[in-house]
Amino acid sequence: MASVSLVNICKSYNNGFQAVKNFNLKVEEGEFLILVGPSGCGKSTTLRMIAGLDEISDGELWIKDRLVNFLKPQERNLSMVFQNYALYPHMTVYQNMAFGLKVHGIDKDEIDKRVKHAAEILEISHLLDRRPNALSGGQKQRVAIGSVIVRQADLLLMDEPLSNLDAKLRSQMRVELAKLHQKLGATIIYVTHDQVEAMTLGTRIVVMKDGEIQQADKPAELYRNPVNQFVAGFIGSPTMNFIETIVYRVGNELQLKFGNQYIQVKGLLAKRLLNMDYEGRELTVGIRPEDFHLEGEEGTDIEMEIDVREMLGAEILIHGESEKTPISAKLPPESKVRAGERVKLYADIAELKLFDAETGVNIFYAQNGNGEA
Amino acid sequence: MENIIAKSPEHISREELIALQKLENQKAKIKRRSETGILIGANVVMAILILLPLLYAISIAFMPSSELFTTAMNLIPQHPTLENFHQALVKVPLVRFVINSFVVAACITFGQIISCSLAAFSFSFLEFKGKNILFMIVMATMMIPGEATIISNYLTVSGWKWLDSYQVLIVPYLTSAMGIFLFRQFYMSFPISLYESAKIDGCSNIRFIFRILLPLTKSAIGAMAVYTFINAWNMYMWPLLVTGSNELRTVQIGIGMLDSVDSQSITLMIAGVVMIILPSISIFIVGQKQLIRGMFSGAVKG
Repeated sequence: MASVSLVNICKSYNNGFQAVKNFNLKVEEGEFLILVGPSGCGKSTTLRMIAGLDEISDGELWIKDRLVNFLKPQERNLSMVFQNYALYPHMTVYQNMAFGLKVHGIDKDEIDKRVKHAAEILEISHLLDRRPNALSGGQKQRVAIGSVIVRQADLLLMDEPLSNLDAKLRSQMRVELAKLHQKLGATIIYVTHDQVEAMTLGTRIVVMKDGEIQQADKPAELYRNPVNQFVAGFIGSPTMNFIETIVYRVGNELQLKFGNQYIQVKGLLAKRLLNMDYEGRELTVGIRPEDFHLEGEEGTDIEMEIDVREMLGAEILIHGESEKTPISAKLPPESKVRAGERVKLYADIAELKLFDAETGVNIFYAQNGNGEA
Repeated sequence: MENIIAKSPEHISREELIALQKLENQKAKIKRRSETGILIGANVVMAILILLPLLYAISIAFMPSSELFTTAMNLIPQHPTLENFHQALVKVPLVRFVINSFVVAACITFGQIISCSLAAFSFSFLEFKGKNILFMIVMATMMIPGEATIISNYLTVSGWKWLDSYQVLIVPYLTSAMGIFLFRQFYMSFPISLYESAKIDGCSNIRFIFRILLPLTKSAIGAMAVYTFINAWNMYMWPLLVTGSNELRTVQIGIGMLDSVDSQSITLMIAGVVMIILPSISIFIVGQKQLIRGMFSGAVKG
């Protein structure tokens, strides 16, 4: 196990493109850290820099209190699972798992012990004599993970290891990865663009965009208190609803108006907004689909026309528009709503997220949480 | 049957339907068989046309001279004989030439596989300044015909006192731009993550090449080996220029020696030719699958 520190890490290419900008992060021992973000956000580049496969343009990378910027990948004592498994097709599963150990000149008996133990953990003991082309996607993935486990490296890196699997197998492997992390207690840095994977696996998630960290926090905190509109929109499925509003004052209350409708805000929240001088200014209101209800307090409702109704068994998803703003809501399965209908949805005011329309920043981020970015 | 076809589905009986199905199946079978027959027939005709010179050469090799020089059209020997082969082996040291050619072709093939795969590895897996320009220069050498450099090469090797030796036949051909290109194309479709994974595992480049890359690119090696061996076996101009003694002559020049001004014998020469094309043909037959697979690898996403 090792801790990893990335200090002002940058990656720029000859054409001037900066893939990663001033990346600062400390990964604690035994942590399951997830790097998540849309395609091209620099998450894989960051992982490859940690692995030593890509050169670090600027900054310092420390693994286990050792500056490793100029060390070759094999000198960093880490192992990596690749998206396409990277199994050697001409070797059997056993040989694949033993290859890294052999290269390191480890004793044959020790190799045998480690390979068999890893195979037992991953339940692939019966596959040891097979070649990769005789394995299913899930089995290949287990072998790839097995090859990594046997190394007993300080740090495990995983680059979208589940993205080649079908949905069912992916959720199954997700559970197994979580179990494996509990069992091994290893430090894992895991790259994915799938926010469900990020939320379920990570002890901490780093959301990236355009080469920069947007927010690094525990999954629940990230969901509850996103630092900005990007993070709020990225985490959660279906994505958070964003309604662009203008703040009007009516007596002691505020109305967040959009088109002919408004959401009424009173009490402490209204006071805070007034204190922050938001009267007359634009605010983007973020409401998660599950924070809409069919009943609630007057003034917190919005009217929407349902375009599509999706019955998912445990819940109903409705999609539609309200004042030309797309809205999705998650309702209980017994709700009697139909496509084509107009319904009143009541927003849970306590769960509203308010973003500055210009900067996209969550204006109550610091007040709601610990404020650490 | 037309009556059945004209009937609507509600009025057709089960028996009639089965009969109709049988008839249609029969028709389709006849059509398919006739198409296959025509294709096979056309292929056989083309194959005979293409192979005719070779088959006729084999036939002549077994013919006594007296049969060849007649006005009758003797395509097949009336009195087959092995005398031509015997004479060819007695008149010139053909076995020695075959061994020479074999040694030279084998060394060149081995050398090219090693050097070209190493160069191609650098061009496809390593990152260094001027990589693309260097590769372009290597490719550009393919545009220079061998004849253009043959004199200067001759002067160079004669300056080194290498004439009439094995090394003069082998060393100048130990690498080829074509081979580098072929291997590089093959390596371009090789998953880079295998290389990266091996690197993280602590594998050196050399170990990666010999333990992972080469075993996984057998078809490229096969293609390269067949192509290079046949080319080296058929080399004529260079060995003619740089070798003088019988001990070092290659087979292609040896065959020329069978054609003497004093006693020209077509049957004798053809018998020699038939003997020396056997190794290259057998190598081609053995390696043709590899050759085709290797030549077209990387052409489409696989």
